[in-house]
Amino acid sequence: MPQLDILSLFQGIATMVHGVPMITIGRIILITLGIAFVYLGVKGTLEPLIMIPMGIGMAAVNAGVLYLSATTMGTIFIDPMVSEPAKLLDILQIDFLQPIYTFTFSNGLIACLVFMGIGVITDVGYVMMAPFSSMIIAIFAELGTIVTFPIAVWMGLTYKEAASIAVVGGADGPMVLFTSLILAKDIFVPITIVAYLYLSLTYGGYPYLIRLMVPKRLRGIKMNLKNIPKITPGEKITFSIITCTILCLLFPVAAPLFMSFFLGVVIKESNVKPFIEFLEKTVLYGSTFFLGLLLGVLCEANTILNPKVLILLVLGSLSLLISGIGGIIGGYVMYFLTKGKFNPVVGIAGVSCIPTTAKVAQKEIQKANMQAIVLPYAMGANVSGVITSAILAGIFVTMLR
Amino acid sequence: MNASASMGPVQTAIVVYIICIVIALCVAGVIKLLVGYIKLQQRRTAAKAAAETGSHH
Repeated sequence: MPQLDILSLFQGIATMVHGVPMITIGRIILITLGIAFVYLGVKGTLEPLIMIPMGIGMAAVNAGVLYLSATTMGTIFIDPMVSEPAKLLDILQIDFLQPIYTFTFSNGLIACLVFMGIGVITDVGYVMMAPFSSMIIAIFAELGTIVTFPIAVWMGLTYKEAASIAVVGGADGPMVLFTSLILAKDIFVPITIVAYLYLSLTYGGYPYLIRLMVPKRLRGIKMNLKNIPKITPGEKITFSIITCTILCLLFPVAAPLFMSFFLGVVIKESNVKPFIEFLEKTVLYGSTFFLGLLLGVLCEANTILNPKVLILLVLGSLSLLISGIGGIIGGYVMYFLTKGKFNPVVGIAGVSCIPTTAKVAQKEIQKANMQAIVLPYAMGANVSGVITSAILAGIFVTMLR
Repeated sequence: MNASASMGPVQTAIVVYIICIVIALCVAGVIKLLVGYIKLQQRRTAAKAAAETGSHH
């Protein structure tokens, strides 16, 4: 009877036992973290749309490591490092998520699809009713990106890597994915994961920042909703086409993202119902699902255990924190410019995590004054935040590429 | 060409921010002009229609 090696039957365990201790510990930590993400996603503490598929992917990919040959270990989920065409063709036939990764993720298509979906749920009319105040707030809310960039360089990152992690301050997931794919492909996996992890935490963290920076008396300021001009769909379409064309002319590198966002907006305003339904439900939710799943399976210990991860974790949180502070400072600037008629809490919505930060602003304001409604202004700042984040990403990519 | 090759990180950040501010404010200006122009057209059309109704009477 042949000798039976129990470990060879269960290769996931065998690779843990025989693997490099650091990687084994990393795998165990990542499996635990994956399970924690699913739990926190289901509970609603973290964004469930991203965290549930991401957590399951993370746990599964780190558990499912096997011997691909006598000497090499790996998974049959995905190989993000393969670039040689012949090897890629082989991998495409073996790793089940490789086709989605190669044809939608590594070329930025998934970011564009998410942006089309965001466009179709975005009302640009909110920016059009108060363009300057929305844009001023959004400019302040980009402080995190600007301040983090030199700090990241001082901490040892290259300019391209520094720009990629600094863009987290714009709080725009697809934008971070897009920028890091172009500028820092080697560390785009940890950067994107850090970004999405922190983005789902903004909902929990920003209310405390608001309460810390804005006294209750100012949080309860009612804003004038009577003089809001009515913007027709035709005006919104005209605005979208003109803005899209200007931004594409200025930053051709970010043109796919601009086009995707404004395409969504124009479809929404044209009221082409089958397209709206398709983009809003199938495309947005479909791409968010695969984005979460791919981010999870990319968190394989061998890929993610990069010495730069700790630096990225610190910089990502710093960037979002400074952007939040900047946004509220922008809100205060508007408060003083309007002689006390503008609620400074709206500033937090300049951080373009659409529509999360706008909802956070409205929720915090209503806790101070049930009658105060600021959502139209907050959404205006939110949409402007998307535009300024895209502009910043476009400038960084154009200058540093 | 890497435009930031000769600049330090702080200078690069400042240049990037200034360009962003200029473009963002230009976009806001375009929106303001556009909305203003559309409103003006609407007022003119309304005034013209009112004048025509008045002349018929």
